[in-house]
Parts: sequence; C-alpha cells; structure tokens
Amino acid sequence: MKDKKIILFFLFLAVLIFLPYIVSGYWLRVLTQTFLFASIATGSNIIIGFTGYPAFGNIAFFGVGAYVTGVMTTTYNVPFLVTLPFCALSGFVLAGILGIPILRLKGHYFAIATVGIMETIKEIVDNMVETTGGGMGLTLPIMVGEPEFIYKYFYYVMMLCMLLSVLICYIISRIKIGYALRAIRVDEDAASVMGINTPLYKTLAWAVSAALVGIAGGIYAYWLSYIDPHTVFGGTYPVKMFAMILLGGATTVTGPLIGAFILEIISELVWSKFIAIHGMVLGLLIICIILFIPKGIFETFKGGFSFRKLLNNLRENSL
Amino acid sequence: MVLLEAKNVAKSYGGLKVLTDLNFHVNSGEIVGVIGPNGAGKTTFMNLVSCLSPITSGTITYKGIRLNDKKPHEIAKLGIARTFQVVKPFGGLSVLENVMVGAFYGKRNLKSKAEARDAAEEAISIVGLLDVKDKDPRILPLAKRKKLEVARALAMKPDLLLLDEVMAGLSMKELEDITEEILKLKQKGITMLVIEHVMKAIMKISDRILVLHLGQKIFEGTPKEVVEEPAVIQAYLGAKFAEKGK
Ligand SMILES: Nc1ncnc2c1ncn2[C@@H]1O[C@H](COP(=O)(O)OP(=O)(O)OP(=O)(O)O)[C@@H](O)[C@H]1O
Ligand SMILES: [Mg+2]
Repeated sequence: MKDKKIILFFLFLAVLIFLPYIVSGYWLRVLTQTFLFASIATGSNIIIGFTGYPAFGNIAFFGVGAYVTGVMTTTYNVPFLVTLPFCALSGFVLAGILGIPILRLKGHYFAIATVGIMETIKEIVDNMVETTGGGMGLTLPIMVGEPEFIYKYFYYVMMLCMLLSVLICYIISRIKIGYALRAIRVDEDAASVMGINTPLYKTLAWAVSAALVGIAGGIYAYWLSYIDPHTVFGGTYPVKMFAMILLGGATTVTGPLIGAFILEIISELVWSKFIAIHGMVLGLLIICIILFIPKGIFETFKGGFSFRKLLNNLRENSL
Repeated sequence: MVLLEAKNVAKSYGGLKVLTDLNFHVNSGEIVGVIGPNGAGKTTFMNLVSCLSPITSGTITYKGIRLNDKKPHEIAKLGIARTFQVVKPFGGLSVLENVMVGAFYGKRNLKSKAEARDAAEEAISIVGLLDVKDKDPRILPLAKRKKLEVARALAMKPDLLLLDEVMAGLSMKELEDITEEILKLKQKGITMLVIEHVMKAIMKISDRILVLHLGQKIFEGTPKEVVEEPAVIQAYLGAKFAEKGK
C-alpha cells in the first residue's frame, strides 16, 4: 500500500518532468500556477493539518516572500535565486516571533489572529512607499530569454518549490516531531503531560510552514514580475488554499497537493469558459467541500463512493 | 524516602475553594490510594502535580524539586506520568503510535522510531492491548481506552505514576488482571498515586489511603484503618459498606 503510493508519486513526478516537452506554453503556465498553489497548500498544511492550527492568514508569509524578492531584486540587484533563502528566512523568523503570543489562541481565535497579521503586514507594506512602491505595486526586473525558455524555467523552479514542500512534510510526518504535532492537534493537555513542549513545537511548525510559503511567494513575484499588496496579501488565496487542503485531506502529506491539482485543473478546464460566474462557482464548490467532504476525498471514500457518506458527513457537521 | 510532598496546598477556581490546606506525602516505592466522594478534589490534586493548572497556595515538591512553576512537559521529563479520568486518546494515530508518543517524549526521550516502537509494544503488552495495537483508539470501548491511557504513561518509564480512575467500567476478570499488573509495576520500583472508586481493588493494592472530602483530607491511614474510620464511613463509604466490611 505504502510502496504503491510512493511508486505512484514518482510516476506522477516523471510525467511532470517531461510534460514541458509535450504541452504548450498556455498549459505550462496553468501547471506553474497549480504548483504554486500546491506549494502554498502543502506548506501551510504543516501548521493547519498536522498541528491543527487553522492559519487562515498564512498567505501573509507568501506576501512577505514576494516582497523580499521584489525589494532585493529591484533595490539591491540581488540575483533572483539568491533571494529565495531570504524569503524562507523572513517567513521562519516572522512566524517564529509572532507564534509565541499568537499560538496561545486556538481554533477560530487563532484563525482570526492570523488574518489580522496578514492585514497588518499588508498595511505596513502599503505604507512603505519608498521601498515597496506602496499601493502602486512593485515591478521586478524581467527575466531575459526566449518565452519558451522562461515558461520552462518557472515551471521547473515552481515544481522544485512544490517538491521541497512535499519532501519536508514527508520527513516531518516520518520523524519524532511528526508524532508531537499530531498529538498536539488532538489534545494539547495530553500531549504536554506526555513530555511534549507544546509551545515550542507549535511555533516550530508554524515557522517551517511560513518559510515554505515564503519561498513560493518569492518565486511568484519574479514569475509575474509585478506584485501589489492587495493581491499577494489575501485575495482569493486563503480560501482556495483552505479548500485545497480540505479537499485532499488535511492530515495527509500529499492531500493538499492533490487538492490543488483537482481544483486548479477543474478551474482552468471548466470555469475559464464562464469567467463571469467563476468566483461564484468556486465559492459554491468550497461550501460543498466543507459540508460534504471535510475530511478529504480519500478519507471519505476509502471503501468506495456513496451518497450516504456525503449525507452522513453533512449530518455530523451540522451538529 | 519522600518522593512527592504536598505542603499546605490549596486550589480555588475563582471564589470556589476546591482544595484547602492539603498536607501529605508519598514515599518511594509506595502505592498510595486516593478516595473520596465525587467533587472531593482528587483529580484537581493530580492536575496540580502535573502542572496543568496553577497552585493557588502552598507547595508541591518531587524529589525535593519545587513543582509550582513548572510546565507540564517538564514534569513529564522529571519522571512523572499520568492518565486522564476523561480519557484523551490521540485519534488519527493508532494505539501503537499513541503509546510511541509516550516513549518518544517521556523521561526516556527516545530518538529513533525503532526504539520507540519496541518500548511502546512492551507497554502495550503489559496492559493487554496487543491485539488492537493498529486500531484507531476512537473505535475502542471505554475500558480499552482506559488501558491505553495506562500504556501511554508506562511507555514514558515514569518513577511516579498517577492513575485517575483507570478501573471504572472494567469486568471482574479485568479488575483482577489490572490489580495484578499494578502490583507487578510496584515490584519494578514504580511509585503510584491511585485515585479509585473501586474499593475492593484500592484496598488490595494500597499501602496507604488518603481520603478527601470537600477539598480536605479527612483521614489518612492503612486500608484497614480507613474502612474502620467512622468519619470515612460517614462521608464516603456509607453504613452499608461498613457492615459488609465486617
Ligand atoms: N476547571 C474548573 N473550573 C471550575 N471548577 C472546577 C474545575 N475543575 C474542577 N472544578 C470543581 O472542583 C471540584 C473538584 O473536582 P475534581 O474533578 O477534582 O473532583 P474529583 O474528586 O476528581 O471527583 P470525581 O470522583 O467525580 O472524579 C468540583 O466541584 C468541580 O466542579
Ligand atoms: Mg476525578
């Protein structure tokens, strides 16, 4: 079972590696976008799914990463790839510091606090006009080269970012710390009397999660070569990220990635034809996911698909 | 040698005094039983020892170390393990993985998964849950979830084990088994503080029994002394028990 999963994953990976030689530029962009979401969802899942802290505003660190790369490449002429470790570092340090007070909160309170953090950082960036360009946004240096090459370049860089997130999640789930996080998710009192330094592990989980999301932000900024506070700190990202995590299964390593692929590909195939109602359909889909399959498609349909399971979930949720 | 000592311990929740002026100690190697009516403050005392809630006044020391301002995980590393009266299994983790958490983070602080698994299996076999070790504890009956509490605590290799009503809901056979196991653990040198309503079992295993009533110690003595004490009979055991005991 486990071996089968790993073989499947590597097969999937092989397909992704060769895909740029088959598909068009348009699909490369769609897939790069999918990798971006997969990175955000997988990275955020360390704090959200593994540790059980609904960091709704985790996108804050995506924005921070984007601006770290933005400012470093424009103001200081630092090469793009060199900025990425700094994106990770700023996410790690920021979440590490904020985590000490904020991770005392739980559930909805924590979720709202993270949104508060996201909004605050957005305001700060918005007001630091001299460094960040404020609400006007920031234009990054454009990568020189053939469009075909650039498409492939970002495709592979974003894919590596996604793989890094998956790898780190996988490692965490396998080693000692993974047990601590999962224990914290279920019951912090029980975890702490069993010897787990819960504040430390929660903060560490959030910091690692923020670091990964920060890298994704940095790549995004250079890829689009234009960022502004209102898109990178919020927008539809938090909601989509949550839907992807829930759809694929919050407690698993690859669930958020699978959720990202399903949602992004469906979105591209179907809804791009109905631009006007795109947002509405997305909203409805998210509501359905939360109502009917909050544990993810794999957990819910373990023994096969059935409508009864969907209804059971609905009943349990409404209690 | 005194292992755990409570001096003038008091605990209030707001204006509600739950424990008042509690003095008592547990010697190394002893089993001390704690009995008393519902709401007497038994679980509250255990929460103070494991530092899950702060002591209002007084001090608790363990091996001479003051516990008052410690964190729960520091208590665990000092060699104190406990169970919860209202069981707290980690759902989503198997029984084995639940117990591995204890082996990983308890006093032994094991690093490798293989070591933790071995330690966990040992603890699981002591409580007799080997047949369900790969199950999710949420689907187990309460008696087995209580055993899981004990296994997790044992995997931490504690010097002092705090058991909070682990025998509730067990069959006669299971009661006999668990008392045997508790006595075996005592032989291995584990000191225990055991809260229990099952009088037959607590009488059998305890060296001394502490009787709490309305947050106060009303008596302390050997099992035999306890059942003969009029104050205890009146507050907790009831006249019927006194007659049966004779
Ligand atoms: N967190 C709390 N806040 C307020 N009051 C509490 C709290 N925890 C316990 N109490 C109160 O403290 C008193 C003692 O409770 P405790 O749980 O220690 O009793 P107990 O002796 O363990 O009883 P039982 O045999 O029912 O388990 C009770 O009156 C209870 O309502
Ligand atoms: Mg109690």
